[in-house]
Order: sequence, then C-alpha cells, then structure tokens
Amino acid sequence: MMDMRNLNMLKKTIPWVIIVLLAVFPLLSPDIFFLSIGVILFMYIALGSSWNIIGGYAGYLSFGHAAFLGIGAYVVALMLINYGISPFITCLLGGLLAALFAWIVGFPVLRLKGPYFSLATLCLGLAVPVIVINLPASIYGGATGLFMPLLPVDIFVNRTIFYEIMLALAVVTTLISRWILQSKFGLGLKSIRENESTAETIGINSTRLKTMAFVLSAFLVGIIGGIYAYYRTYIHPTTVFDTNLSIQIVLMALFGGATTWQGPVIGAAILVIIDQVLITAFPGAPAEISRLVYGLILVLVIMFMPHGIMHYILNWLKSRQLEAEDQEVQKSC
Amino acid sequence: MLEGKNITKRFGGLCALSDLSFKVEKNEIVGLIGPNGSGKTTLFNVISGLYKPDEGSLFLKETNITKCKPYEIAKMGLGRTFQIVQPFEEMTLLENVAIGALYASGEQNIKRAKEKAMEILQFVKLKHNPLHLASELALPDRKRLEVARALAIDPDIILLDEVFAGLNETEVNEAIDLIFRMREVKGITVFMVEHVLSAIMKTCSRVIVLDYGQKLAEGTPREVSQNARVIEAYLGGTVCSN
Repeated sequence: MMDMRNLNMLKKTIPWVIIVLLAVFPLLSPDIFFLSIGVILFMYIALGSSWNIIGGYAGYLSFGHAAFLGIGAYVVALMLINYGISPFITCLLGGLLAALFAWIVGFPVLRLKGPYFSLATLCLGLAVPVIVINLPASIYGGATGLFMPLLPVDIFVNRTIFYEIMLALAVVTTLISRWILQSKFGLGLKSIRENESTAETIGINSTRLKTMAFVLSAFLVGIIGGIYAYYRTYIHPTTVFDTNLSIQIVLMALFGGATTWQGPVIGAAILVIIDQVLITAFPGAPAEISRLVYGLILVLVIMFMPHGIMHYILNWLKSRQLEAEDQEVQKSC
Repeated sequence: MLEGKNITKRFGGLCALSDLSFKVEKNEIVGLIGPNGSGKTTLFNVISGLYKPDEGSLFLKETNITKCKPYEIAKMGLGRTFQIVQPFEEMTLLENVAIGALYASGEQNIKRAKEKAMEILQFVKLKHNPLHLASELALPDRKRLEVARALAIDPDIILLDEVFAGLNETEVNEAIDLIFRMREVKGITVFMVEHVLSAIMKTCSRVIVLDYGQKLAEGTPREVSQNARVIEAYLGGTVCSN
C-alpha cells in the first residue's frame, strides 16, 4: 500500500519537475536552435490541448483551427502597428475575437456531424485567409502581410521570453483541458462524442455544450495565435491561416490520444522531436526522405493504435489495476 | 401523467403514426405491443422528443411538451431506454449513470452524483465492477445499465423499449421484478414496448395495441389477447371462429 502511495506521489511530482527543468533550461545559455524548437513544441502542445476540448472530448474533429490562430495573430499585429499596444495584452483581445467568431460560425457548423463538420471547418479555414487578403491592404496588409516591430532586446533574450511564455501557455491550456475532462462539462462532452441523441435523452443540452467547447477552444487558440504572431514578427495570410497547421494540430492530438488530456502533450512532443531529428538525421538527403519517414510513423500508429498512444497506455494501466483489485476481492472471499 | 392527442408522424409518404391518442395514468404499468413496423418505437421517439410529430400534441404531467427538446423533456422527468442498447462504451459504468444525475436531476457535485449512481447500480442489480468500461458488458448487463442510466435522471415516468428481448427466462423474471420495484420503491410510472407476451401478462395492467400506426385495441392483457383483430394483425389472414 505504501508503494502505491509513493508511486502516486511520484506520478504527481514528475510532470512539475519536468516543467521546472524546462523553465530554467534557458539559464544554461543553450543554442538558440533549441529554444526555437522549444517554442514550436510548446505551441503545438498548447494548440493540441485547446483543440482537444472540442475535437477530442466532444469528438467534433475541427480542421479549421488555424482560422482562430490567424484571427488572434491579426488582432495582435493590427493593435501593435496602429496603436502600439503590447501583444502580451492584446492577445487576450485576439482570443476574445476568435471566440466571438467561433460562436457565430458555430451556429451553422455545429449542426453538422462527423466528416461533414470536419469538411465545413476545413472550408472555414480556407475561406478566412481569402477574406483577409481582400480586405483593404493599407490597413490589413493584404497579400504583403504585416510587419511588426521587434522587441527591443537581443535575439537570445527575445527567444527566451517567447520560450517561457509558450511554456506557460502549454501548462495552462493542459491544466484547463485536464480540469475539463474531470468535470461535469467534460462528462457531458464525452457523452456527446459517444452518442449525441442518447445524451439528449438524459438531459444534456448538446447544442449548448458543443458551442461552449468550440468557443473556449477558439479563445485559447486565439491567444496562442497572438503570441505566435509576435514571435514570428511577420505575418501573412498563408502562414497564420495555414491549413497544414490545422491538420498538424489534429494529427498530433490523434497521435497522442484525443480522448485523454495527456494525448496532445505526448503527441506534440513525439512528433515535433521526430520531425526535428529526421530533418537533421539525413543531412545530405533530400527533405522528402524525412517527410516519408514521418508519414510512415503516423500510418503505423494510426493502424496499430487507432485511439492514440495515451489511450492505449492508460487502458493497459487501468486493466492491470482492475485485475489486481479483482484478485484481492477473490482472495478475501 | 402522459397523454398524446391525435398524434400523426409521417416519414415522406409513409404514415408511421396516424391520429393516435393514448393516455398513461400515474403509477400504471402500460404495455405497448404490435407487429414489427407498427410504429411502437416511433411513438417512443416522438414522446421523448427525438422526432417532432407532424400533427397532434403531447402532455407530460399536464404540460404541453410537443415542441420541447429531448433534454428538456428528460429534465421534466421522462426517462427512456433504447431497443438497441446504447451505453456510452468508452465510459465507466459509474460515469454512464452519473451523467444523468448531473445533467437532468440538477446535481452539481460529481462525487455526490457518483454516490447516487452507485445506489442506482445496486438497485438494478448490476454486479459488474462499476469502474470497468461499459464496452465490456454482456447484453443482460447492458440492459441493466441502460435502465440505470434512465433512472439516474429521477424520472416520474420511464419508457422501456423491449428490455426483455434477448434475455433468458431467469433474466426476464429479474427484469419483471425490477419493473415492479421501480413502481413500488421509486413511484415511477412505466410505459413499455414488449414482444415477450408472458412478461406483458405478468406486469401490465393495460395494453395498447398498434398496427400500421393506428390503435387497434386497448384493454387488459387478457382482453387484448382474445381480441380477434389483434390475432389477425399478428398472425395475418382471417381467424376461424369456432
């Protein structure tokens, strides 16, 4: 029994130890390359955890989350360029506008289910950049994009700042996502994923819950988009509204296990690292080789662990625990 | 308790229910029988709000629920089970039942909802470990879980859609016992679709017979089973009278 408690303590402390270690990592003055990987990794963790609220828990696979990311990015850039307000404040406004947008488009698209919802959100993600390109270029940058002034610090400090902020965002979104999964809200979303009309017959207002999940998810992604824009300092409709980005978020969450809160974290960590390792592993070879291997790994996981890595691991752990319990019950009988 | 007035439901040109009126009084156990495709499940879907009737109106405890959404009807105290059992497979038994308590009976605290779910699981005599996933259950236990989930919303009336189908004799007797306990202990009115006639005979005080979406007969199980039109609908053709 004592072992069990120690094990649980260990399970609770290890993630926090890792987070603290990651937070103090820049003090070692590492190569900027590693800080950049950190920023991207944390961003994908944060995006995946936010996406998971609607895509994983409720099972509404959105392929258009880049739309929310881009809205956040554009709000931040416009506020900085025109009014000189710091992105670290206006990113909240970006989140709110993304949420508002999600609320409005949610009315029609959340009525669709399964692949129809995915297609509708995919189209949404494609439509928004077209709108932005056609807005008056003098204000919105049009096809030239927008340049933002750099933070007045040297490049290492700059990277460190964004590294720490993205780490914080990753931690916060993961905590939110974990809290939701264990709450009444999360249970409701899960029942919608399992069977929406059955869920309705036991008192669940599925439209309201789905909308809440979609809006919250968009809000978080909008904030991340704002920070990402300031990190890039140059934004263009094709970079911040990139459909590849939307797909990448979905892949990472599914790869890790979208029904769990750990899934997007594990998925993003493994895929970002594999991606980087592959790119550096075949230095002379054409870039396609690393993409091929990356794709192969994805296919293998989807074939053999269709519910993602974490789902697989958690079920295995749980079945072991339940077996042990059942055995104890049998002994006492 | 529950009343339907002149309900008509069409699917394209097919008239699944036509001008059907019925009434279920408080504390009754009413059976709904009829040949395949006679509209029994359609009626249940209309009552629970999954389908909207094209004509007619529905009243639950004197309130008009014709235009209500399924979740609103559930919150007003109408629980139902499905003919093809639909447990939330990827959730534990406890979660399956706790959800109804959380969303329909106004319980906010997850821990208390789970305690309540435990009681209900005991009430339906589901002995499986409540922390296992629902996907592991065999059919009889799935049916128990389905009933438990409907009971968690604290219903005043419960619609049971073929809970006896696929059960062996012992299990049918247990289910009959459960139906009586629902009424005696929890004061729940029961409206059930059933094909197992022996079970209808034992449980129902009144039976409504549907055929082609219309009410063919109504009365005590004995009366109905001797009704010539009912026999004709079930066996086809005309019946020779001795």
